Amino acid sequence: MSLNIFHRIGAVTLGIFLITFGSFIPTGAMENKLIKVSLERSGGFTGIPLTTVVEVVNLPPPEAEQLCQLVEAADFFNYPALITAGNSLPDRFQYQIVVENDHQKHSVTVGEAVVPNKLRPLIDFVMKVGRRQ
Amino acid sequence: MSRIKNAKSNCINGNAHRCSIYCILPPDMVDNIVRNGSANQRDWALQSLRMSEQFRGQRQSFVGSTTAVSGQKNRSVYDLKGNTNLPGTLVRREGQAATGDKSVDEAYDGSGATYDFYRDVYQRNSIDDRGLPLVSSVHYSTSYGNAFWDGRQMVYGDGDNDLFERFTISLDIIGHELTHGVTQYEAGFEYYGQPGALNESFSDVFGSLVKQYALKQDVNKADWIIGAGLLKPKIKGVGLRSMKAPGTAYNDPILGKDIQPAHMSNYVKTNADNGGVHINSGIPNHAFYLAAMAMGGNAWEKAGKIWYIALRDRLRERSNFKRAAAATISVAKELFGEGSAEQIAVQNAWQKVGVI
Repeated sequence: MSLNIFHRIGAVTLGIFLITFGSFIPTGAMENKLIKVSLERSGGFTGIPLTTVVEVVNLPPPEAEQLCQLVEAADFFNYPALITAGNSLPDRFQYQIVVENDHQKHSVTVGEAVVPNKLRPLIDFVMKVGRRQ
Repeated sequence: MSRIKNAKSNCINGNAHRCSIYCILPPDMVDNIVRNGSANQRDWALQSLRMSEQFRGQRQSFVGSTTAVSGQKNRSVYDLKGNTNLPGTLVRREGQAATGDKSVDEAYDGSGATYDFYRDVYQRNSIDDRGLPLVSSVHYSTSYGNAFWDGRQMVYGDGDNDLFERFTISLDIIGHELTHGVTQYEAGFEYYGQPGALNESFSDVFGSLVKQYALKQDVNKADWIIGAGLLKPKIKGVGLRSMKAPGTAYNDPILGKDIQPAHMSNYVKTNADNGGVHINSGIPNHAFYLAAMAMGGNAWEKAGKIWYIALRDRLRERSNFKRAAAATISVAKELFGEGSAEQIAVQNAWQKVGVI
């Protein structure tokens, strides 16, 4: 008897949940909902590291949208894990950017002097948001 | 544009050597042209030397003849006005009066002080020992908290509103950056791990010595701080790095804490910062400090000379801390004698930091 009650409560809860959040539940097989972007800047003459984590859920909608666009425009998941200048460039910054969505997580380490043009706006944006936080 | 719009729906809603002709010339031949060629030939050969990777680590055969190349200070300072396209607009050349722009004038004066230091103390003819003109660019980018040597010239940022003053503010920073140039033409340390930390350490050592020499400070008067005056007044710290006590330069809620080690037991293994080159440089930095303090007097005269000769003649791309210790101990023996106080001072210093 009590079990039936719990079943009924469970069904009602599920129903409310579906009504409330149904539109946010991924339905396709290839979703890639962006979760967060982390950035660590190391090196530079000062050697003082700077770490920033930007979670999409904590951003106002326009900025969340902008971040997603920048990740997509950078074609981020197709970069190799390491991009270097190939020779010594003393005192330049080194960036490690980690982008995580609900299907994959990818890390790219890149020297300041060789940041691809498509990636630069993403780094600048995350630095700007991080500075504000 | 449409691609970017699609990106929005996907991620928010979850629906969707150089090598020129110069490279083929044997270095000995180029050296001969520098020594014996006409003015035009010499300019050409010098250019080739600067461009060639083969030049690195092959200086010894040429050392005795460096005084044959007449040295003349030749500075130029460019203003980038917030851009990043080097070098920018020329605003001050050798011999011209101060401009009134602090960054311009500090870059000019600091590169001059560094040139004088290397010429007067170690008879070195500029960064490459062949009279390389000293080019500086200031006001790089916007709110740029950094300075660097780009392989050919110095570049300085203005700092930012929160943490750092302009990067020309401290003479040891200018000496540090120019010494990266010296290292490039000498040991050529690769910029990763222990060789990278040696690259950083030699820049700190000679950056500090440039300042000590300019201020005529002996080992007891020197502050042994890298970047004194660079931190904004509200930041809790005395500078970026302490050679006297690595790990104590700053401790601030915004900046964090200085994590430089002073001993091998605290060596930091990391992939960040090219394998911690600005972190683990604390160990050889402290070794130099200990050696210099044990010798007393002016640090550039004995300890500095030992370190300079090791950098110029004994250390190479992949030299590690142990190799640096062996090289400096060996040079101390050659300069001051076996069992000399100087040799023992260098040996004790590397022992105290746990390298040997």
